[in-house]
Amino acid sequence: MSLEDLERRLKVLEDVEAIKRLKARYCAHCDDGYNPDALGELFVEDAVWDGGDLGRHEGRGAIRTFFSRASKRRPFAIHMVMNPIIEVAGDTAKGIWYLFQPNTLAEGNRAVWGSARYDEEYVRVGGEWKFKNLKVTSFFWTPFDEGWAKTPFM
Amino acid sequence: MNLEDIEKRLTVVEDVEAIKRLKARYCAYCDDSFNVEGIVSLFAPDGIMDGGENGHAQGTENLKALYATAPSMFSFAIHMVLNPMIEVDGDTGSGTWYLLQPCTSPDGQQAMWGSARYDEEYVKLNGEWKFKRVKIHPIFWTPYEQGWAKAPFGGGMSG
Repeated sequence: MSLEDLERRLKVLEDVEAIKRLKARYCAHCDDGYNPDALGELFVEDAVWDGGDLGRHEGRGAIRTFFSRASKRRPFAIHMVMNPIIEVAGDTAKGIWYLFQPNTLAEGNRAVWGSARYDEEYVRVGGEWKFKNLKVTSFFWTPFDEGWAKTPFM
Repeated sequence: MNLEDIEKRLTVVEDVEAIKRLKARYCAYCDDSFNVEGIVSLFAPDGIMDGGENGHAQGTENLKALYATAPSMFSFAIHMVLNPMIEVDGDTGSGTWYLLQPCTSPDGQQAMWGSARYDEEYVKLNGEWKFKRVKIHPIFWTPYEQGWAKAPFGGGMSG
């Protein structure tokens, strides 16, 4: 055991915490009307946001455009994330999260429960962690008054 | 303060983070249609699952048998875990969590909200953390349309 070994191990823990903050910032900006400028800053230039049926967007520009339109369709959302599995390897990392999201669709002013899994890749650029890949796999997006057994997807 | 002291403290923080990953992997295996091999691989060979009257098993083979019955309780489940309190002491540890579990009856018809507390013990075997004991205390298990005020235990798990 040397100082270098300890420092390397400490850095991994600091990086895990930094990535958790990155994810929480992502959620906060989404929940602030899907603030496109703030969200764009969290992605690298050639990042990919892939939500399957929710849409796929390649590059920071396309991702910003996607977010700039999101609050019109979904004027309210609270992105709650839990169950993180984050693994860091130097200047890259992977993460898995669960999402639980009360939200509202403008069409019909419908309250919706959303549940999904995030599979993500991160990269450290200029000392800061950013999203390189963000993939959403949905478990259910169900109307509040119906539930995931009756109506798993609207 | 010396290098040994710092290394001890660092190891504790790494272990807490590793236990959090262990718990998240447990949830992911459960939610993958109760992947029995995966779930049980996270337990120590003499590990215990204590669900009270909802089910109890000790040891690899008994745990496999118990988790194989899970689809007869739920056709769908998402195990969301929060509020961890984890303590580590060398190669053993303990932890509590909250669980919030949207889930569905075996026939696929009835959505339910499950809420519980996990009380757990962990052991580090060959450098990897495993569950020594998982005890679940259901708080409510309620049909979706009714909620926890009207029907705190209306189906799924008993309290």
